[in-house]
Amino acid sequence: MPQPRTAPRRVRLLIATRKGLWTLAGDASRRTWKLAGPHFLGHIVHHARLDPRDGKTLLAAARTGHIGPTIFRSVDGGKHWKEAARPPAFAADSGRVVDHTFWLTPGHPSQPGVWYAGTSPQGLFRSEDGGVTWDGVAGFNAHPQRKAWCGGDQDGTPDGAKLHSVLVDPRDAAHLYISISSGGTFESTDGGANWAPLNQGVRADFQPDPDLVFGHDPHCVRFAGGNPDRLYQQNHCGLFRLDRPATRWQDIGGGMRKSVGYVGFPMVTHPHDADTAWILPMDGTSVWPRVSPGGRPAVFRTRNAGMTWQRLSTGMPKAQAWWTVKRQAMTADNHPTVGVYFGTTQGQIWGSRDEGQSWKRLAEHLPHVYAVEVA
Amino acid sequence: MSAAARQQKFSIAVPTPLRSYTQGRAEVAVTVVAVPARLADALAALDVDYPGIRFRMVDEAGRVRPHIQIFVNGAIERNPAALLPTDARIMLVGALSGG
Repeated sequence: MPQPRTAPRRVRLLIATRKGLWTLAGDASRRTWKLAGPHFLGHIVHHARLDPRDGKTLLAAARTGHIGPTIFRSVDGGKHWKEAARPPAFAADSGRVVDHTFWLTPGHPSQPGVWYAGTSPQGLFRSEDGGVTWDGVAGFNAHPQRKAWCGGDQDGTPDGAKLHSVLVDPRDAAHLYISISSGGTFESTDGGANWAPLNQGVRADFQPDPDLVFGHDPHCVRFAGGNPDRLYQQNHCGLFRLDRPATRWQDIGGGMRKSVGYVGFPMVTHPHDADTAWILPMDGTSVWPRVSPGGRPAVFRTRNAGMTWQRLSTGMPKAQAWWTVKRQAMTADNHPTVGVYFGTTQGQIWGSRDEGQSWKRLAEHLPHVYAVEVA
Repeated sequence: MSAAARQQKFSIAVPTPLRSYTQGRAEVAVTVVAVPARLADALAALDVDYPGIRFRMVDEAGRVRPHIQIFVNGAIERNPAALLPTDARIMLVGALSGG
């Protein structure tokens, strides 16, 4: 298995919550953690990311209940923050209004300063100056099929329709993937000027036609670690893997226990091993409770690209723990033995320093967690 | 009419969620050149003095955001095109309840 070339840094987690942003810093062994914050207390922070290209620029997508959406930006690792001069906003004559920025993705290493943002309702935005000013990606936002792809208000999540999982091919800055809930996964090979649906093989049980071209509900899509020709998808209707140049997703949910199912929100991939990924299943039966099945939370891990899944719950509560973990609220670090982390809507942060074998609660009593990212 | 004669000053009360823009000031004054002056002109002038504040109150379609309330001389006014009386006192309010 290939290993990272450089020694991993101490892990710092960015914890975006419904009431602000916190950080959780680990020591070198990842055994002791120190919570700091809040930043932007009272702001709804949907996502916060570090720019891996300079190691110090942070962006945070925020709004409050009263006032509209913005992007906060720090160029010194979070010591000082300043608001974007022109946050993501649709064209004035589009009839659409950004409710919140939901997803942030740093651009390609060859394009320093470029960032992408996905919004609710579904919109794609790009910054070329490190997040100071943002413009809509017209190739998607003004695409003639955009309305058909995105559907109506009823096709969104309870918190509004989302554009998420913005992926930039590390080999080609012009090769992009986005996913929309709902709508499906879409690919661009020309930097966002044109887009095409990429949903063959993905189920859409909630649609009359199960073999749709678009209209699916991907919850989270990630590149496999070390192999950007492989994508993993946690979908509303199951688990899928795509190995390019193929265009048909393979169902990899068959190995999940029927008592647990294959519904969840996050998908986390191993940074060095394209066959390894983690999910955190939630109850998708009856009225979709979206909590740990049976009140017994567990992470499931595949080591063979989704053929089989192993239950990992050592250290977690054994009963009466009704967790919900959102799609951005689970991540992995880059250590040789990978650490995996997630945050619950009850405000707990859990971590594993042994690739999911055992778990420890790292923080609690935080607000509803929306996103956890390694910085 | 000279440019100075066309200028009108309006007082704007700023609610706590927006005072990060006004360096903590609860009340600010803006100068509007347009005649007649409209609410949108006052909000645009406010944004010149405190960049970014307008977008937090008014969306890209020009509508006052749902949980922002604006009073002009004590009466609710949500139409940005509304004319402002020369003595208008504008009050911005963050109007939201719940958790």
